[in-house]
Amino acid sequence: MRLNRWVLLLALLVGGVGTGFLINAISQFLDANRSYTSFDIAYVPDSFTWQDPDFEHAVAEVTITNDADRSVTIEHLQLHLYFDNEFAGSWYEPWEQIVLEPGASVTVTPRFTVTSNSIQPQGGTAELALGGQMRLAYAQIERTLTVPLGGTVGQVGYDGS
Amino acid sequence: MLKRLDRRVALKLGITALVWTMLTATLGAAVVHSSTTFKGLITPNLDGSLFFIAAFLLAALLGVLIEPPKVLLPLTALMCLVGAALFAVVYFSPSWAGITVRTTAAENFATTRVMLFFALMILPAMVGAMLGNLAGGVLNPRQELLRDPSALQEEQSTWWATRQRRDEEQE
Repeated sequence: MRLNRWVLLLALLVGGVGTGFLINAISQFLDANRSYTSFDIAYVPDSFTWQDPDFEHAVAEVTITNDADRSVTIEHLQLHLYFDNEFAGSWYEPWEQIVLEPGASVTVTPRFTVTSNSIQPQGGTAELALGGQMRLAYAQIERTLTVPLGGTVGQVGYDGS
Repeated sequence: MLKRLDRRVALKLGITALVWTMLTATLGAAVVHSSTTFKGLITPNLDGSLFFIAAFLLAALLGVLIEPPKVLLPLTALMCLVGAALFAVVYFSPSWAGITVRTTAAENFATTRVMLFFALMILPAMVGAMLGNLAGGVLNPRQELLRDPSALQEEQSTWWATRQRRDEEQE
């Protein structure tokens, strides 16, 4: 290595500024992502209902509120149902994209189909939970953002209605 | 003598590693700030040609400081690879922070972008490194060698001079 002190100083100076820019870029990107994905996604309490005694189909209500200061298009919503943290089934119906204005909220009613036959009988006794992801598109940015979803339902038995 | 030599070698290796790391981070910053992927999310978002110029200039700087081409060229290639990979680091940072989800489509996109950036930067970086290496011989006055001629044996001269000396010795 040629330790020319001026070149070394220049390299360290350029490197220092560049490293600062990189750290700042990561920080900016994280803040921007937090800002864009500022959502309140909540399971509506007591809205989960089994539609049959075999625990094959169920419906629930999930409210999505756009807390960000820009409108967003929910391109895709994927929701799964878990029995004691084990995958049980999903919402298999196609999603039609919706636009949420700032501050607006929407309540969706997913219909779950249990496809894990081995654990299906546990539907009435297991701790139920929801999980999944939502793909968001914005007019201001080219790329879409995919955010995780989750919620605890608790134990829900078939009420016979 | 051996201890003194080891300390000098360790110091040089340490400085080389530090400079390489910082210049690589700078190249990564240039890639991120010139990529349209982060447009609207990271400011300033500069022209796409920035990373070409950055690859050339930063490799030239590395070339001035690192003399043997057998060390310089792999380090330059590695700088381009890691600099391009920093795009993926920034791209996936929200996933690691738990803000967004890392999807297969995102992984494929990031991988292709990293390969693309690497392929586009490697040529200007290699040219820059070689030009910087040639310029390094002119820029370095070797005053420390004039003060301590015994260090001449420890210090490698420019590659063409080393080769010439070796050829002369063989003759």
